[in-house]
Amino acid sequence: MEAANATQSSSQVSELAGKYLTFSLGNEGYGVGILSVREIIGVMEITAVPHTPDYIKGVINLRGKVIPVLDLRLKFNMDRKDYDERTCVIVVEVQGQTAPVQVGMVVDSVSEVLNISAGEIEPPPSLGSSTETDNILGMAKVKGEVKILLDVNRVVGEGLQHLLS
Amino acid sequence: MAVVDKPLSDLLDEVALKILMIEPGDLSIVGELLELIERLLPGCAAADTPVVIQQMAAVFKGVLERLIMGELPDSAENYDLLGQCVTEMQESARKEGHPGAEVVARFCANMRKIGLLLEPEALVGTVAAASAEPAIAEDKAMVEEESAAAVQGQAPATAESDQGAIPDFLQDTDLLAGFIEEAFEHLESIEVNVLELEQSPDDMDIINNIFRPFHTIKGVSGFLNLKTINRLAHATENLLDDVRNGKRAMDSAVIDIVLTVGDALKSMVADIKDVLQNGPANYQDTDIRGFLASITQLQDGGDGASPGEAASAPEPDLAPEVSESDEAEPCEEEDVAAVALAVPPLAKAAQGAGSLPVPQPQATPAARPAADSGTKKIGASIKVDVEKLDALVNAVGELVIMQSLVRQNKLVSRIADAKLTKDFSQLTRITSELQRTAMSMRMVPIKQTFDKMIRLVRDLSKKSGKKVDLIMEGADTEIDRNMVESIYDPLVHMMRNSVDHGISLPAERVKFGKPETGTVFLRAYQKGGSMMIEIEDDGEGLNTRKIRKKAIERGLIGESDSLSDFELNNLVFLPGFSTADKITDVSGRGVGMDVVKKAVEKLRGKVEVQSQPGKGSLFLISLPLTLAIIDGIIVRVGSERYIIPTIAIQESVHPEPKNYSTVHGRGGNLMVRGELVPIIRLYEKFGVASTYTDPCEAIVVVVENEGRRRALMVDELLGKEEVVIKNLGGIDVPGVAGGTILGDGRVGLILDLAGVIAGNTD
Repeated sequence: MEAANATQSSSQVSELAGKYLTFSLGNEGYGVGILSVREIIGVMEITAVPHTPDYIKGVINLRGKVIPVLDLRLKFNMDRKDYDERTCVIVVEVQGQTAPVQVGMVVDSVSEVLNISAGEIEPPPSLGSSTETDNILGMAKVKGEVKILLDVNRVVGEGLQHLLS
Repeated sequence: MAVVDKPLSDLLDEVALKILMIEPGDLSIVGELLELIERLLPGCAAADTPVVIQQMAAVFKGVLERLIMGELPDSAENYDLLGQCVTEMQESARKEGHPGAEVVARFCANMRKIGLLLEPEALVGTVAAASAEPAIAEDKAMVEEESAAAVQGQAPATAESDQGAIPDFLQDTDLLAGFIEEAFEHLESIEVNVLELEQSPDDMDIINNIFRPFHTIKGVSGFLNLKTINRLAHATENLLDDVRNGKRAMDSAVIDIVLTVGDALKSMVADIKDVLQNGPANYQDTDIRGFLASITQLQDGGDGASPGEAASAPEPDLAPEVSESDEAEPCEEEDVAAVALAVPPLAKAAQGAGSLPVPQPQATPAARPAADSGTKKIGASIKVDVEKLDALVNAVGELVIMQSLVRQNKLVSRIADAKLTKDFSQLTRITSELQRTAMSMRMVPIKQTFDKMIRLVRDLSKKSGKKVDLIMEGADTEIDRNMVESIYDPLVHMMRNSVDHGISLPAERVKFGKPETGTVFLRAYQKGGSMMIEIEDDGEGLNTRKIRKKAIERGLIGESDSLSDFELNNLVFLPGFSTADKITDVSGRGVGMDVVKKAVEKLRGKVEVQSQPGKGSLFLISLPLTLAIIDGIIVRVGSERYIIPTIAIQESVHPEPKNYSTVHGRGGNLMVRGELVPIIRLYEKFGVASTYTDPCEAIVVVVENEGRRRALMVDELLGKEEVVIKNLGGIDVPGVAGGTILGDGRVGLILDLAGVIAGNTD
């Protein structure tokens, strides 16, 4: 099973090369494919929505459109952190049930767009819990730092899954 | 005359087109066709025209001449067959004069059907002898060569079989898509006009209005190689032409056929649409032979008396629309005494085409739009992509919000410049105007939905044997486009109800001193900020006693409960409620009314019924003018703001301790006007820290939803506003209907009361 995964992953790794928007959550660096990113905005007032998991902070007004916002720290079961002037909301577009849906993700800070080549990417580690690692496309080693490449559709999609109309 | 050098294929295309245009009796086009064919004749044709085509042209010319002389029947079939011959000629041209034995054989077979004896050898021989006489092969050797040089065999895609050539009509998908759209429109207009025609069978204008779309459909479908559709449309067009020329009287038989053909065409076009979207895998061509047969029957046998006059009282057990031939028999026997001579040809038609509706000799129900919509406004209109329209409306919505944000900006509002203030007013005015116009673009007249009711009532009354008049008022009233689909089903339900349960059989009605024909009124109008739709019938009305009994049986009310008649009547909207003794396939299962109520409430509307036993019933639906905007009261709970739809609010109260009670120290009830109403603490429900926890310090808003009343506890009432509903970017949360952007740019949640109350049943 492991070997099979390994060979599978290596062929997939080459598909992962491309541009990623990198951001940080605590000490860790992450990246999401820029094709999914719609915009980056500073954190603003979020209207809480009742009866939703705690990592769904609520909804915001994005130029007249109401979109849900989730807190990645909480989604990944990390400690809560107060929002400061570096906190940003990355608005991504993922595939909903019937149509594309825009969702915001609250992150500690946003870094830069990096062009990551296949050679710099390694398959995701097996951390034991498959649900966690399913969100990860791979690990990239860039400029001496490790970036965790996220599968946005999985992260956001499964987060909103039971809520998506 | 100058013979212009044209590529052969072009010329043949022209011939093909010309044949499409021919209408039996229209010899002028035949003349033009002849001219074209003459360019292909041996002797006149361009040097490189294949011999076989020249021969075919010669034969063609012969046939045409005989048609003109009347020696061969000048009929639609023959023109069709000629059309196929042209296809064979085109095939021959494609194969550069070596079409192969199969094509030649088909050409001859077609010619034979027209009435011309022709052998394949005649075409292939070098002698230009092929004409009306059966010819002997001059050059047998050549013939053998031809047939040996066999056949690229594949039936050319444009073969004549009725089994729809699948790749054929997919050649030009753009044109096809356009055709589909227009065909649907034509078919709709045909239906509306036919139903109008039933009221005034002699109105030539209406007959023309029906003829034209059939003609258009025939023409374009032929051009696009949609053979079955083309044939059926052509046949119907011929029938209508006979009516136009007085060769056939317009009677209920013709009307029924036209309606059935219309339905069949609709389904055929829908099939084509399906192929276009999903591929030809499931495509099945429709068998129209039955239709063609009965149309021919009507054309032949229909001379004489129209059966409309001798309408006897319709028998209740008349065969349903799609009847088998044997079921048709008993009816005819009963009718013989009363009905005019036209019955025999109708009976023939029924026998000939088993799956056609038996034309019933009874007065057909009337559907008259009331006088006020008589004058039709003809304005220019254009077709716009719905997506573009929605994008525009969204953008305007955002503009309005932005404009208001700017105005409310603290710094801006502090500027005491007169000109600035004036400019801002102007800006606001223009923005409002823009918003109004954008909103109105989403509105469509409810006429299209109402028109569908005409057909429905007609079919229902025929099926049930009752006579029903449908009078519509206010079809011009506009409704939000997004509501049109959703309102159709509830209306259909209620119509069925009225005809099925409300209106009684003509004999019964006469017994009660009512006119034989029942009337159903369908009205639409705007009242206040809502759109109202009324369905009123002059039937028996609701049986309040029966309702009470059923309700007690079902345990919905107690024996000793005293409800007003109005309240009792409105119990019919509860699930599973039906007092019908008999379940017809139309209604009676007790499913209808509560589904209607749910559908209407989903649209944020209300429905109620008023009734008078013996006089009739009135169903009243009120709907918001637009789904996009909701009128609500903004309330504050803690730091959050929510919007409660005004339509649900009964009153708001500052509770007094004497009215507030608890049970075992929990829950909370408020005495409002003599009734105990449970309190829902919104701060608890939404997990918000609120200013007050004691209802008597706070404010309570009494709301009603689906018959349940609750008192919602909030900190403060902030104001009443019309807000634009936006969905929550994809998430669906119970108790929350949507969100809106408030004046300060923040999002406010709009409450869904059904969800709020449901989540709180202790």
